Amino acid sequence: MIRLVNVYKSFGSHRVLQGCSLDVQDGETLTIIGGSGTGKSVTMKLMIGLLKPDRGQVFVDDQEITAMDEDQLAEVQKKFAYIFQMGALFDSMTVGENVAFGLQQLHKYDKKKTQDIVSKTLALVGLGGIERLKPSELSGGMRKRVAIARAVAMSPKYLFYDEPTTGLDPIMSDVINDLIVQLHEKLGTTGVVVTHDMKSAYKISSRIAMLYEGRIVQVDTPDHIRESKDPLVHQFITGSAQGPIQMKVKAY
Amino acid sequence: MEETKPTESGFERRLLRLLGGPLLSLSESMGRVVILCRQTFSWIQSAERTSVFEQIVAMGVDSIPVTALTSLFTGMVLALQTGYSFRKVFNEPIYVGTVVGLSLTKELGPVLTAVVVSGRVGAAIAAELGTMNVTEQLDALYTLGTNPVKYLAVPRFIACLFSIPLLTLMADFIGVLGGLLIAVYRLSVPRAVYMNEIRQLGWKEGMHGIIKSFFFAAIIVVVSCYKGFTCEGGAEGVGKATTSAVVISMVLILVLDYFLSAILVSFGIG
Repeated sequence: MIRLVNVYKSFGSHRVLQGCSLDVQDGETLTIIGGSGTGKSVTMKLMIGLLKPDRGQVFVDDQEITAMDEDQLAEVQKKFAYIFQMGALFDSMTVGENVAFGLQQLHKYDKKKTQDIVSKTLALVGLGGIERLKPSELSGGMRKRVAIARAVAMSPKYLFYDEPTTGLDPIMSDVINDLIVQLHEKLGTTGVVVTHDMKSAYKISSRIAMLYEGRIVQVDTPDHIRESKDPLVHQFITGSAQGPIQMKVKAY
Repeated sequence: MEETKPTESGFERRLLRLLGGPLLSLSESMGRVVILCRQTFSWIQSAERTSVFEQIVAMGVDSIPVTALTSLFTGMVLALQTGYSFRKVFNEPIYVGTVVGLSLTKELGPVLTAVVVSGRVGAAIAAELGTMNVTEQLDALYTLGTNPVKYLAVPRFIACLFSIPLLTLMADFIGVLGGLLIAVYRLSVPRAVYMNEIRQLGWKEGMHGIIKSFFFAAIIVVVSCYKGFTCEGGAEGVGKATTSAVVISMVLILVLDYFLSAILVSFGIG
């Protein structure tokens, strides 16, 4: 279980999180929704210790990671795998080397075992046999799937997805959504997803949390979120420009 | 007795407002550089040999042609200028070997090599790490259980400290050879005279340049890694980080050169 307790985070004078509290239960897929720049990715990076909060606490399986030193944090981080928005594949390596990287660095598996896991995980995401290709030779959807394979290969307890469908066509988005659901069912991992794609959120989530002005305004099942009476949630899920959420548009 | 409170004048307030931001930013940068150096030193022993070897090839072996060409022509022009200048003063080109040898081994060899390598290698390090930073590849390393400093900075640090002194040594030899070509074939200085002057140089002259080259190597790799790791703002940010890594390295090399020379001379080295 991951727990954020009254977390504050600012970058310079820009306050991103202002007393954010949130629980992620074991075995569920929790999706964090909210407008661009509301701090969804920051929330996720705080959960895995890539960022440190200015105030507040973050617990992973009842251990407070905010109070840990680098070595202790590195131990806890073995439970996580993170799929970055643009994939963050290492350009200098082939697809196979990308997927094998964590297995060799973190788990210290031998060459044969690593190759077996790489082949299996690439097949799991529907990309068997592309080990020798470079990331620059892949399409956007393939890059996302390789990033998912790299994360899944680590056999993590928690899988984090940062905007998994951003920049993909609707069909490829749905392929990724199906893949996330399948992986959750097959591997039993706990998922945390950040997205503003509501179609994706409804399909993959056990619960959805809406983030606005640095706080969580509602956490509920997809069905309850769909029927939410909260004006902030309602405006966001219907994608209306009219309502309490006012987007600041620069006047040129 | 009434206690007097220290008052802050308008000038002090304006001065603080003007200098406060840059000073804070400078202190923050210095602190980060110190942390980067501490982490790099603490992981030196656990560096992967393959990565170090790859970096030695990329930094050292691939820099041989440009360093050789630069030092060859530096030696040649040095001999030419010395020969003609001394001919005007003394009616014959004397001390060409001494001037070329001393200038190259103590100053031009280490400084020019460091400047050339900072342009080639420093820019490459800052651009590569900067691109990895803005495309979240550094964060990806963390999530895959690898510290970017340990995986990226340490092999580069070791490779740079190994390659640059060797390149400097090579530059010294090639520069002296360039000087010999001009001295013999253009200035008609007997080969034996030139070589005899070169042989007069002691180990201290050579060590003077080699010791400095270790410091120059450390400057190049620390500044470039720091700029890459702290790069922000997409392609523009990578460009700025690369430019500033090269400029800062070159300026620091030239500034430090004076102080290192003064210290080494005071210790009787060179």
